[in-house]
Amino acid sequence: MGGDDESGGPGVRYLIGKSAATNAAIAGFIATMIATVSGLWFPGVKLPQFDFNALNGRLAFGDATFPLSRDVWMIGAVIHMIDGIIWAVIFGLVISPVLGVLFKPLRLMTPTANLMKGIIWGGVLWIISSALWMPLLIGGLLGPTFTGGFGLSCGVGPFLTCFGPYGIQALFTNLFWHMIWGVNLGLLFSPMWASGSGTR
Amino acid sequence: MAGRAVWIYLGVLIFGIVLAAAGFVLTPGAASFVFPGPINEAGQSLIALGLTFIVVAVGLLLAGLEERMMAMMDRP
Repeated sequence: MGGDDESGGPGVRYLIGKSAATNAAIAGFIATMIATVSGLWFPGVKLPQFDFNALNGRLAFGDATFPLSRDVWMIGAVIHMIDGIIWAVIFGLVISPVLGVLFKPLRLMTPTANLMKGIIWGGVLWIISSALWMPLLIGGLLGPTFTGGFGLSCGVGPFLTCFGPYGIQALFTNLFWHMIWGVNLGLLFSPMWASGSGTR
Repeated sequence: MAGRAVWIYLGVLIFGIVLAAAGFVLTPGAASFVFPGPINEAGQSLIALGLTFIVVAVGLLLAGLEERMMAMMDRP
């Protein structure tokens, strides 16, 4: 792990740092920060706010109360940031090389191929988030409050087809969030052959 | 960056702008940070999808420009 290139051989340089792990961790930090802050700004473009810090804090403490305390939100922010960095390191050390083996066009170590890998990984995490994390965990915690306490028709629907007062737009807003993350990760985690040609 | 690729990326960008603009028109009321804010399923879905296309297109354009810059730097 943390060798000179994705396959452990020499001749690869990284946009940030000197190893895949360092580049992925820093890229993950930046991508998670940008996506998280963007999610908080979503209402500025008429979208539902995506506050993953609050959701992670609620899950950690089993807290379904409204409004959420500042401490729970802050701890949720730390958990969410660590999650984002871990997913990015998994991408850098495992997923990115595997995608290069599975798909021939992604074998090139060019900025565009690296970006495409980041977009694919963002899409995979969007599916995991929408199919599992949101309905099974957040739905289990906040669903009864949404439908009982707030009298809404929906808690968290299967594959995020609804989220409290929102319908299918929650699913697409979640896609937008994960694409912001994936694009930033793919642009910043960018291993290249030292010759700069992209092929070898 | 190949000329055709640039046109494809620009097409994706314009498609995203059109989707987001249509969604913005469809969604009633002003942008609001007061929960729950404006709600319109079709309009907000179009905004989210449009902005997704825009983010991906901008990323592809940036990556393409980076490749072009690297190629120029490699030349003696």
